[in-house]
Amino acid sequence: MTAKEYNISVDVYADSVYRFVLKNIKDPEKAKDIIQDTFEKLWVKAETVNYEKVKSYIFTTAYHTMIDYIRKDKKQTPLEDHMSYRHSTERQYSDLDEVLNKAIDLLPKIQKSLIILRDYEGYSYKEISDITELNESQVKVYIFRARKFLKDYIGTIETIL
Amino acid sequence: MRINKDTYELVFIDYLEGHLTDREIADLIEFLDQNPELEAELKTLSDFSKQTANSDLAENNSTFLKDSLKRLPIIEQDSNFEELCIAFYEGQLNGTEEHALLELIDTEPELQITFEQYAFTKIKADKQIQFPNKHTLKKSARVLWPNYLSYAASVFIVLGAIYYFNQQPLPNSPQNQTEEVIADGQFLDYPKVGTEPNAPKNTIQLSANETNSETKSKLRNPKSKASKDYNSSTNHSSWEQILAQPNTEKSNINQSYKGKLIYISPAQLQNMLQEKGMAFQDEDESSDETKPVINDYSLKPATSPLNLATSVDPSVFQKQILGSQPPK
Repeated sequence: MTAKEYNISVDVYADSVYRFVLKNIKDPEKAKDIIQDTFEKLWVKAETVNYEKVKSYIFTTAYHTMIDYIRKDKKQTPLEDHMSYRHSTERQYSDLDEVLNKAIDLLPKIQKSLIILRDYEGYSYKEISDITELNESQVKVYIFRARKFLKDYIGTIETIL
Repeated sequence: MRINKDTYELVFIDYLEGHLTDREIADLIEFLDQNPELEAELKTLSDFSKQTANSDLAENNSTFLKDSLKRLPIIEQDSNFEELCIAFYEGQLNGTEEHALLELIDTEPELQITFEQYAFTKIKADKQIQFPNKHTLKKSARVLWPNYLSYAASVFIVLGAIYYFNQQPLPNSPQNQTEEVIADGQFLDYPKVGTEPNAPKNTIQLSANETNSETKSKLRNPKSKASKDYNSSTNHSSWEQILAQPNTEKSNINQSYKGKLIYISPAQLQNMLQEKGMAFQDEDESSDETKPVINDYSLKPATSPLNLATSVDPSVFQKQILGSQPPK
């Protein structure tokens, strides 16, 4: 990949991969750091990365860099703490998107990442399995479970409202 | 997480994924005892997990959905129907399967709500969120060639080092020795006219010679023609003129020409003497009696054969060795 192709990759994919990371970790500064790291890694490997597969390379690198960040971050809020929001009857939601976004944040991290890759980028199960290093069956099961959880959460909120 | 009728599905999933502790599993069993109707749901969920994990979905992603579709008319569990709903929105059903599912929904209005709820589980990216300062990620083209630049720089440095060291004389080379002797001022000591009466035959005989005052004055002035000749490094007459300077003026000469005299190496001098049939005697081998008489100009102890030149009268040296007359 040439420098020109690298810079084109920045233009084309920086925003989408930033949205993917930001949606996962909810921290803009960390998301920026992860994107910086991701493109630095891409630049180092620029001569060996095929431009045709650069999107997959970027998302794979960003995903694993994000996992490393999450593991290093000792201050991450446990999932159980998030779950308390799920059944809060006092919370009001302005619209369905807000409810859905809240539900997304309550998903297990792996399911959340898979759903975002699937819906944001339209990746196939095969492509997601390549990025996350899961097999396709696992990817499919996780996504199905995530959908069911989201549906149930939406249904619960609708019932409450 | 406390298990109840609102959270049991998540607990089921965590149980099937092996994320529950022993205490949580005990709570789950107790919960199922109190709610036996949910055992079937857990079993269905477990079967689904095993089926999707063990089946050959990589080759045919909709295999289990086809099997589920075949059971559509006798669907009793919501989970099967929900799987089909998910598969529908995931694009995993073919046209026939989609048609069958939609027909089922039409016949069962209660399923319509569930089907529509799944339509909202698809999230959309907020395109207004963009990476700030995108230009900081970009690189200039020339940075892509660091290896080539480093290779070129390495070659340049190596070649430069080779060239540099090739220009440096060896520490013990004749040229270096000559420079050192001259720098010490030994070479410029002026020999007194006359010789020791009992001088050995092997010693060069010194004859009377008068100091050329005009030459001296020129030599004292570095910008004079004589000095220029002297600096030419190839003019033997200038070399002789230096030898002819009295000791009182050697310091001036030394200062003016220090380090610049490189005319004849000891080996060359020795060869020249031998060609003229004149013996060469190293001062280390000569006794005090064999040394030429030096009146008020003393020769420093010889450190090399080059010092023999200091014992030679310039005019004799010019005439006998170089075969020419001294300059006027």
